[in-house]
Amino acid sequence: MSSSKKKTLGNSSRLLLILILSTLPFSFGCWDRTEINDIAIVVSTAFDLDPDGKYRVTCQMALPGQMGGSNGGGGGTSGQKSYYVDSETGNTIREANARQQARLSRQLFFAHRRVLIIGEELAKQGIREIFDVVARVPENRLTSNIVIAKGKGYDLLNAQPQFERFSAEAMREILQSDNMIEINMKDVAQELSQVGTDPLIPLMMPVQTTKGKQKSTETQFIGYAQFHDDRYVGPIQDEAAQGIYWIRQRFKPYTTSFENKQFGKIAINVYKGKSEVIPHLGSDHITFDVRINANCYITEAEQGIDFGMSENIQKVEGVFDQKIKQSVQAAIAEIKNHKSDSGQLGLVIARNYPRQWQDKYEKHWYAELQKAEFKISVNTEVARVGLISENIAKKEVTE
Amino acid sequence: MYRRFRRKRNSLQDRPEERTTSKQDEDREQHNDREEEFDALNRQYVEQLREIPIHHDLNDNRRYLEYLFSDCSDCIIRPFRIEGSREAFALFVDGLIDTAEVNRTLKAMMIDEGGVGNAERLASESVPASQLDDVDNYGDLLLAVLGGDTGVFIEGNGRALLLGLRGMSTRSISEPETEAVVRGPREGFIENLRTNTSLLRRKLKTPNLKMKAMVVGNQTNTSIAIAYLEGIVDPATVDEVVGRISNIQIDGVLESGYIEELIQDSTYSPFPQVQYSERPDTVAASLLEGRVAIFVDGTPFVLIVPTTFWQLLQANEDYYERFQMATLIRWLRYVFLFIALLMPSLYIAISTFHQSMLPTTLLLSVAAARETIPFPAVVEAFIMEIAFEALREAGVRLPKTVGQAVSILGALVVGQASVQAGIVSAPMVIIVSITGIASFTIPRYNAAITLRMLRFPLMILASIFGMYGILIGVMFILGHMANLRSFGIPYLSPTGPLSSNDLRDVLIRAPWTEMSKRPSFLDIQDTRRAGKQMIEDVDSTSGQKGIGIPHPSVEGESDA
Repeated sequence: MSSSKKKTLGNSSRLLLILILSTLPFSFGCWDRTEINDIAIVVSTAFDLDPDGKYRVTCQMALPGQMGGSNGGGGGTSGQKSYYVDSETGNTIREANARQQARLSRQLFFAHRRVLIIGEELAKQGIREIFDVVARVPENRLTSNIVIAKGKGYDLLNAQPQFERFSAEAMREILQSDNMIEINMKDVAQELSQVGTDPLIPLMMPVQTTKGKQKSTETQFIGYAQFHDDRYVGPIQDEAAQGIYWIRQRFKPYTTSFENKQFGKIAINVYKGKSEVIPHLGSDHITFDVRINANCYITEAEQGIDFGMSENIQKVEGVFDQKIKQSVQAAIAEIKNHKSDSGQLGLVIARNYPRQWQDKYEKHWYAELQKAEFKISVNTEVARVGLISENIAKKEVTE
Repeated sequence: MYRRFRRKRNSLQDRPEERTTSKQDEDREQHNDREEEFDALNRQYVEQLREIPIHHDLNDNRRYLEYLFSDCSDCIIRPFRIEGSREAFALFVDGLIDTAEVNRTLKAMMIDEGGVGNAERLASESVPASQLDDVDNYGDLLLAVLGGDTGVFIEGNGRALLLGLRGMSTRSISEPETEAVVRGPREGFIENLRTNTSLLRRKLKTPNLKMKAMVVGNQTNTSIAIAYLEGIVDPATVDEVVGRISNIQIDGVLESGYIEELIQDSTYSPFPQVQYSERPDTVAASLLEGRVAIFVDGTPFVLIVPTTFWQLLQANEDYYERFQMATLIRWLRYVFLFIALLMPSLYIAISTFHQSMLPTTLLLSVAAARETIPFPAVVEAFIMEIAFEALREAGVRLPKTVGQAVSILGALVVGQASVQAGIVSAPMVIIVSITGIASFTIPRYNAAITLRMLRFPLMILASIFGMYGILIGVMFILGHMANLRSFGIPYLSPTGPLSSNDLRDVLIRAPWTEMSKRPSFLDIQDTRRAGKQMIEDVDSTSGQKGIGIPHPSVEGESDA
């Protein structure tokens, strides 16, 4: 096709065509061309609220030059950090960003932000505004993880974990591990937009490792942040955090330990479980029937009891039932205490009784939640007792 | 014309010393006149000599030949006398004949006692040559003699005998270097046309295998054979091939590439529309699918038409090894086809426009590697790609003795030094190497060339428009391919236009029992290739089970 067209063109017009075509690249090309070494790759951002009411935006940016790429005469990574943390305040988050940009030789590039950190103070005031800033430009990913920092957000960015190059990377790895509820920005936005559920966002803080030869600041997961609507109301930790898995019907494996008169100190790993929350609408309050089936195995048992005997297993299962029940009760206490529906109980009603939910409960859900009662039934099964049924160092006594 | 020529020859004969005397002694005007006339004759193509008949007078013939072959030290005229009969002479080109055979034949003629001495009788009674022909004009005679035949002129005969006693030295049949296989025949075509056709005939022992002879090239007079299987091939395709070749007017055909260029459908397309092969088995397989092969004397590369794009991605070994492996390898080729075409442009597009597309850790390593690089990604890519192409070209042209030194140097310069000096980033070296390897996975060299060429415009598009530019470029290429035809067959057949039955030899390599029909998109006459009964038998038991053979281990089962 093109060849036949060319044939019909005269020599001079063909030359003209070639000339025009060759100027094309110069006339409109490359306006959004950015080389990789013209961008500052932001791996994490922390939003904080300063005492004077301004936003403090802190960015953690990768320093590719320090990451030991192949180069002529470039220094190694020894001693030098492979990231750079820059902080600035502003009346809006964008204003702060613009001020930062004014002193950065490279363009801030947010597409690879993997963790968004919100400081405790800002979270208490409400996190809904953050979603406006984040979702307005396509560069920001809604799939990035979100974290509430205990204390200041930028402290988490300044932490220097030993395994990863950036604290953002470390946090992301921790957040993506199998034994916690993974929540990204999209999930949080969804939960904020619904009545009858409140987000549950991982809560992290920097901790100094102790007793080691080399001190290091690691980012530690310490529980979940509970929200009342979009405001942070308090943490939910340890036993209560384990209980919330059951109420949310999103089981995550966890290890717990306790002491019992008969069995001594025991540690178990709950590795498989399924829970069901069935609401019963009463005339003046709602009753939730929480049914739990848990599978666990014993990871530590100090007393040296022989779990090869089935009656021992049966007894210990009863103890575990109680233990799990306790954790659920702790979670319920947190929910009622903070007026926070982190168990997504409103959602359970909205799904089972949509009409009643709309007519009766939606408007005063937090008040209804306070009145709700819970019936908890647990069935634990010890599936494994470990490779040994009793301590191999136990003295053999002839009877 | 001949008459005029004879007059000149006669005048030459009148003054035999004329040819040896120097120009100064000659009457200048007369000389110029004659020279001009001879020059005009000289410039004529051999084919045009068909108009000149062989004369009855032996000396006349001899003088004319001596004139034609003046300064041809390899052309030999050997006079002799048929015993008890007439004068004769033999004409041959030294080096093209089998000397021993010619000697024997001449001897047989010399002792032909008291015969009548006409060519027909000689031919039937006393010339021990298996290939014998006679001609009555100089055009046919010269074509044959220059092709290696021996011509015999006899006094009083208007026809010359042609003895087919060819014995030119040729390369022996060896493994084809461009199409090596692990499993498959190790023989390849050589430069000699007859050897090549015989190699094909050995694969297809059927009178249905036709070989039409043609001669192309006014000066080279290259012999061409058009081979096809009658009863399978579409006769219109053969007519088209013959028509296109007979239309060729060119002074020389030195390789089948000349023919390919002169008969292809789209001259300006970067895509090859004719397949070539050095392998008799590949050519035989193509003929069995209803294609046409064109043998060209003087080259081991045989052309195969019509050619479709998918054919260029298939190797003969696909059909010799297990079909699962062939299927996997085909898919590997399809993947690497895209890598060979798009990898550098994708790298440019992603690293300059769409950094958000890369996984974070990968972006960080790329960023770290690119930190000290002074060039934009597109310049870097061009430096490396051009360096690589230069290395490859040098590798082909290099004398074998220095080849190793240069390849070491190239590997060091391209792979190591440029990265360490911070001129080129390591990811770019990886990209270029993968691209290079990818283009070698394409079994047909001419298809790989196309990818190498198209890579560069795509790189420019990617550097200006990013991913969008690549998409536009690929759409343009696809549109062009959909537009192409090879001898009337759409280039993207059988995928576009779709003929779903033929996809079993494109998307996968189905086992032979599933490919009992020949590809239908070629419009062939006989579609069935395997026997129905055998296919049904194999299908019913998914293989040949050999149920009739008892074995002790399953005796109990068979009893039950």
